[in-house]
Amino acid sequence: MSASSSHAGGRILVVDDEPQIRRALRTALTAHGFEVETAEDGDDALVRIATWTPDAIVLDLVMPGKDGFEVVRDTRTWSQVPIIVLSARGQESDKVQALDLGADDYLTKPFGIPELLARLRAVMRRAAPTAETVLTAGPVTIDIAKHEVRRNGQVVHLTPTEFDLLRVLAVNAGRVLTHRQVLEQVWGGYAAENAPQLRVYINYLRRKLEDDPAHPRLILTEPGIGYRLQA
Amino acid sequence: MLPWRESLGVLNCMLGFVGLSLVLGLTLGIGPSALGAVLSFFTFDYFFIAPYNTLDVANRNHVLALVIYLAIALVTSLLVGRLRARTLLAEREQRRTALLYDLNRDLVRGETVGQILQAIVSSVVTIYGASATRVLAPDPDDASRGLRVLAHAGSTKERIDQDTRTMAQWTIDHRQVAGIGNEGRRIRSPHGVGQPPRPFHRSQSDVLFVPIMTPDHVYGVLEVRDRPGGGRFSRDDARLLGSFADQAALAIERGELSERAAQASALAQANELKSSLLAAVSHDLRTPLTTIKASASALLDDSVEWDPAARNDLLSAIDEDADRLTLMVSNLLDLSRIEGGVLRPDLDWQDVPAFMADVQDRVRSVLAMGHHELTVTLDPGEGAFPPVRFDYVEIMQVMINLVGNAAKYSPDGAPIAVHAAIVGEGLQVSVSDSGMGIPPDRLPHIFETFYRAHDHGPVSGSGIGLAICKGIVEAHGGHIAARSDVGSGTGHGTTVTFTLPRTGSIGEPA
Repeated sequence: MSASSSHAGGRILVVDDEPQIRRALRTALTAHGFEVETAEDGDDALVRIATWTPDAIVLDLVMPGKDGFEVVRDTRTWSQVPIIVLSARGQESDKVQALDLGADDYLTKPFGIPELLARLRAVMRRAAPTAETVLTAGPVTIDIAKHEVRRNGQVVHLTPTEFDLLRVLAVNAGRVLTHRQVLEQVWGGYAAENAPQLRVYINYLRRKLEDDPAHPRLILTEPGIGYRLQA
Repeated sequence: MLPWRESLGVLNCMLGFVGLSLVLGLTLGIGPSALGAVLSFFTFDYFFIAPYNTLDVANRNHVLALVIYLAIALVTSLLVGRLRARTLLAEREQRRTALLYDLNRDLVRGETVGQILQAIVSSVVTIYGASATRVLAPDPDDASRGLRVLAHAGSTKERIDQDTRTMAQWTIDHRQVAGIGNEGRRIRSPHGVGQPPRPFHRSQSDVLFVPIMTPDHVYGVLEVRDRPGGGRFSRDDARLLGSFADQAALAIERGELSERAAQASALAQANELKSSLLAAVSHDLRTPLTTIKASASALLDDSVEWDPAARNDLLSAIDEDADRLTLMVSNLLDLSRIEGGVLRPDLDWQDVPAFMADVQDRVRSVLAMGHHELTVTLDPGEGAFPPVRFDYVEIMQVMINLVGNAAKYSPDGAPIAVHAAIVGEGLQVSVSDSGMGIPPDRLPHIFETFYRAHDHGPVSGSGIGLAICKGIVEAHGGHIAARSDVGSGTGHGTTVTFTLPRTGSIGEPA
């Protein structure tokens, strides 16, 4: 297919202050069937989000003027459009802050286009409304209505807390969740002292669901940030 | 004999003698005054009490009068003598206070420990007329308890002889004043034969050793030597010197604390510089890396059939950002050379027109993005453009930085002009843009490392490009300056001009 023949993939807004990065992402994403618009600062981005209504946003966190954090905060007051933030390595607290503000996922610069595409697809899929109550992640199927989890067809017994934790991860499959987000959704309310408890329950789940709990392939740890259920 | 005896009257004579006691007491002190009182008692008895010229007393009433007289004379001399002693003491205290006040003022003015110590030794020499004063302190580099001279005034030798060493060490160890005389005993060692050093045990000394100490720490010893013509040092002098030494110790403590504070703040500043460098560098390196990685990984993706235009777009993004990375790395290398003072231009005769043609080639990718047009004009004066001596690579770096800045801070499509001319004995090159310009208050700072005139503007950068240009140009013995028309509405933008001596000379490393 030709690089710019169709826009079947959806509308992506790329926000970065660096023209070279905007150019490369526009070319690469256009070639993959997305319709791409770019913005060079936070104010420009907010205008385009409101007027062009993108299906997803790729947003650099560090920009002169109105930065990525403010864009996430402002956007979330009225829109649930998926947002992937771009940040540097070693700035984990920035990522956590952006995720807690409502960003859907993050990528560390520099990143490969396949990685970006995978994240984009994941966040856009989640954004599409779904009535499914049976979720599948690798060898594991989760029937939310029946409170039933199967691994390779075999029923796995989970405690109520373990099931809640798995459900939260599964409905956000492919997306990173910060420790705070998991704690809030499973235990209700954020308490830093519950973080060790979270780690314990993650280990229980891995022991019951992973082929090799020491090298998890299903429930991934995002160091310094949180957890992600591999979709 | 004594014909005026009767006319004078016993009473007047007696009052006269009491007056004498008073005068003696005021002028000479208690001892002489008391002696005077006793002598006058006998004189009075001898000459004025009948029978005359004997110590006998005829009239019993006169005995009582004599005894009362003696008592009054003695009490008077005692009181007056005390008064005199107190006056003298008060005067001494006043003098001492004045001296300490002066010294304190000097000490507060002193900023470093060295200056403070110098103020102390100088004032001791001035005030005491000592022939020499030194501050000795344990040498931290010498394990064998050596001493070094921290400050000296007067006719001192740098050498510290064995006696001095022994006495000073004793003073430091015992935290007490010590004194020795010049004549007689030589002190050899604290433990060996001869006289061991002793604390200030006599009322008179020729050399005093006073510890400079706070309750926590002995900093050193104030050595005060010989007072030609001024007499030897008394206990009082030792006491006053002790006050000096106390003030000195406090001043040293304060000085050390403020030196430490200054070091800490310099360190903090260096750290801040380092972390802002790291942040800027990591951003500046990561940005082209992100472009390169994204473009290359996109091209490697087999699932897409790339059309030639998109493919070319990604490849040129890789190419341009590889150039940016190269420039960034060269800048960092130059920055470290400039900061380290090891930037030595490799001077050679260069053909300026050819160099400028090369500049145009090398900045092409920098200019392509914003569609800027670069015009180069050459003004050789008369005849052909003469060769100029400079470091080709380094001046190329300057040109790329200056043209790159011009492009960065100009609107897309705005022209950039480079003008090279022979002016006097130098090569003058200016790079002009029609960009946003630099506010006048920021113009003086733009050549400082990490300074960014538009810190919160739309253009990112690390603030090292112009600092490097300045470093390189100055290493060539040239100079660089910027001029900017901002807010004038004429859109003149900024012009950066640098001048190099035509025959080349190596400037002081920046």
